[in-house]
Amino acid sequence: MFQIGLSLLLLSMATPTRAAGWGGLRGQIMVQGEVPERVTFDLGRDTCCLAAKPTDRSVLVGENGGLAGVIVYLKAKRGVEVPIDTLPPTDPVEISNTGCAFAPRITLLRAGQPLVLVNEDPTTHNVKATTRRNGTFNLVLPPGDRRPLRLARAERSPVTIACNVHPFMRGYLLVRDDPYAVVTGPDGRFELPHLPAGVWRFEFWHEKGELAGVKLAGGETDGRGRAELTIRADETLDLGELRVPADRFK
Amino acid sequence: MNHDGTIAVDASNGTFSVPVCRLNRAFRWSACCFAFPLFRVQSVLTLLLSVIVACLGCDAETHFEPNAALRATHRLTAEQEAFIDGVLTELFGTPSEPQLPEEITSLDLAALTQAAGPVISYEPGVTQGLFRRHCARCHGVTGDGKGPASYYQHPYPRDFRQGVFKWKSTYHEVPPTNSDLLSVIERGIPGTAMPSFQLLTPKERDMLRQYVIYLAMRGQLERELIWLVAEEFGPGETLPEDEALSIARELLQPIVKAWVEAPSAIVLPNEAALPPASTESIQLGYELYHSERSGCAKCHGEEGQGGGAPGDDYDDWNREQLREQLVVEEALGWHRLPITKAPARAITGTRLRGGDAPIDLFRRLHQGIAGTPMPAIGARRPGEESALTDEEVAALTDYVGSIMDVNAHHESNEKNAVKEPQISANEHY
Repeated sequence: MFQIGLSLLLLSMATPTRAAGWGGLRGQIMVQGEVPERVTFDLGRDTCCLAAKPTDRSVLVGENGGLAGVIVYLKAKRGVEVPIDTLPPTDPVEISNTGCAFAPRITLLRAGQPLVLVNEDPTTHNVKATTRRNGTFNLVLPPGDRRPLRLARAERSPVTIACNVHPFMRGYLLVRDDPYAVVTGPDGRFELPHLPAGVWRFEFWHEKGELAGVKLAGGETDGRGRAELTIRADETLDLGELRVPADRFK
Repeated sequence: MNHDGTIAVDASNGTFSVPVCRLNRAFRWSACCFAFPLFRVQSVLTLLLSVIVACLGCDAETHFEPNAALRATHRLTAEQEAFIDGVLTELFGTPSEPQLPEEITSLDLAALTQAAGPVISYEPGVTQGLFRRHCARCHGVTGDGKGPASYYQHPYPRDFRQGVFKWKSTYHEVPPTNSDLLSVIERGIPGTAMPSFQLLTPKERDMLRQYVIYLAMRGQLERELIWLVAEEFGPGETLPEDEALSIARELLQPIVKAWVEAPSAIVLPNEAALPPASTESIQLGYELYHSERSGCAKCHGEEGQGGGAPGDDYDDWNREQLREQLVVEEALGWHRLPITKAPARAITGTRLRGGDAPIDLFRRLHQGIAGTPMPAIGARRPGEESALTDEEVAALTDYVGSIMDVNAHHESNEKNAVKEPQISANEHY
C-alpha cells in the first residue's frame, strides 16, 4: 500500500504537465574526414591492464563513418516543464570496470534510479566523479566489489568519471529526470521513440565538445551544440545524416 | 575621473591630478601611494591630502577578479559576465566593503569587515585588513589562489572558490568545519608555504576563518551562476535584476547549508575502531596496504616511495585549469599558473600536511583527500558500504603511521570530539 502511494506520489511529481501527444526523433551522426590517431596509453606495470590492452576510445567511428558515443538529449530551457509519463526504472544501471576501461563508457541514468559501480577486474580501481547536484565521490573499488549508489537529482550535463589508479580510464554519466536521452550506437544512429510533442531544445553532446554548427534541416546547431526541434504527435522526426567534420576531434 | 585614468582633485584653490592605481593586488596598493607624480601643490597640507586621496583611490580600484577561465570556457558574452558581476556585488559587496546576503547567518559582518579592506590601524593592537595583510599575497584578494607569490609555490596556495579543502575532518564531499579551518590557520601546513598564524590572536584567526568561508561561498556562487548561464540560458540571454537575484539566492542556499551542516558530517570512528597500535594491527595494516583490497601500493609504491600510478594525473584545480587552458589560452593571461601534476606522494620521508595525529591519518585514509586523486577507502556516507571496515582502516592507519612516524596512537581522543571555535559568532569585534 505504501509502495503504491509512493509510486503515485512520484508519478505525480514526475508529471508536471500533460503532453499534447507523443512523437519521436531519429537520425545518424556521421564523421567527414580522417579522425586523429588514437592516443597510446601508458599502462604502467599493472598486469591486468597490460593483458587487457585498453585503447583510446574517445572518438569511436564505425566502419560506415558513424560517430558512436554522442548523447542526444532533450535539454529544455530554464523554467520549461517537460511532460514525463514514466517513473525511473527500479532496475539498477551498472558501470563496470572491465579490462581497465569503464563499460559502458557513456552511461545514462534516471534520477533516483539505482546505480551500481562494479569492478570485474582482478586489480584495484577507484571511481571518482564530481557532480554538480549529487555531491562528489572518489571510492576505492576492490576486485569483485559491487558498490550501490543513489544519485537522486538530475544533472544539467554529463559528468566525467575517472580512475586515478589508472588515469587513462575515462567514462561519462548523464543523470536526467526524464527518459529523453540516447547515446549513438556504433553506426552513429540514434532514436528517441517516445518524446512529448512540442518545440523542444535538444543538445548533441560529445566528450570532445558539443557538436556545434552541425547542419540540420532548416538550420544548424548553435555554439553549444543545441537546436530547437519540433516534435509532432504520432510522427517521428527523421534528421537524416548529421555531418560532423573530423578536424573537430583534433 | 578623467578619461586618461587620473583623478582630478580640486584642493584649496589649485588643481592637481594623481594616476589611478589600476593594480588590483593588495600588496601593490601601498606602493602606488608613493609612485604618483607631483603636480602643482600649494602647501604641505595639500600634499598630504593628495597622498591620502591617492591611497583611497588605489583601494577603490581593488576588486574581485572574475573567474575568467571558467567564464571563457563556457563562452559567456560580456553582457552575461556583467550580469554575474552585478549579482555577486549585490550579494557579497566588494573586497573593501563586504556584504552578507541574508541567507548567510553563520558569518559575522563585523568580523568580515575587519578582515577585509586595506591594511590600516586606528588604535594600538587593532588591525583592519587582516586578509590582505596575512593572506592575499598568496591566496589573492579574491581567494583564487593566484596572489603574486603563488607562482613560485609548490603546491600552489589553495583556490577557495570551489569550496573544496583538503585538510578536514568531514566526509569527502562536505566542506571543512570551522575548527578544521582554524586548525590549518593556527598550525599551518607542514611541507608547504602555508605558515602558522599562531602569533595572531584567536579573534583575528577566527576573523580570517570567516573571511575564507565568505570568499569560498562567493566563489562557489560565481561558478553556479556561470554554469546556470551556460547551460540554461539562451545565447546572450540575461535576466532582469530582481529575477537574477532571486535565482542567485536559490543557488546560494545549498552552498550555505553544506557549510553550516558540516559539523554533523565529521568522520568519527568509535573507540573500538581505533585501538592503540599493536604489532598485530601493524602487520594487518601492512598486508592491507599491499593488497588489492586497498590498492595503496599501486600508487604509493611497495615501500611507500610514491609515484606508482602510470601516466599523468592532476588535482581538481589543475585539471580545470588544464581543460580551460586548452580551450581558451588567451582568456587566462597572466592569471594562468603553470599546470602541476599530482603524482601519488611518497609517504616515507615526508611530513603529514593535514595533521599528524592518528585520527588525522585515519580520516585521510577513510575519506581520501577532497579535490585530489586520493580516493576514500571508507564509506561515502555514514552507514554505506565501503572497501574496508573501520577496523581495517584503523589497522592501515597503524601501518602507514609506523612508516610515517606519526605520533603515538591515541593521544587524540579529544580530537574525535566536535570542536567549534571558542569565539561566539555574535561576539562584537
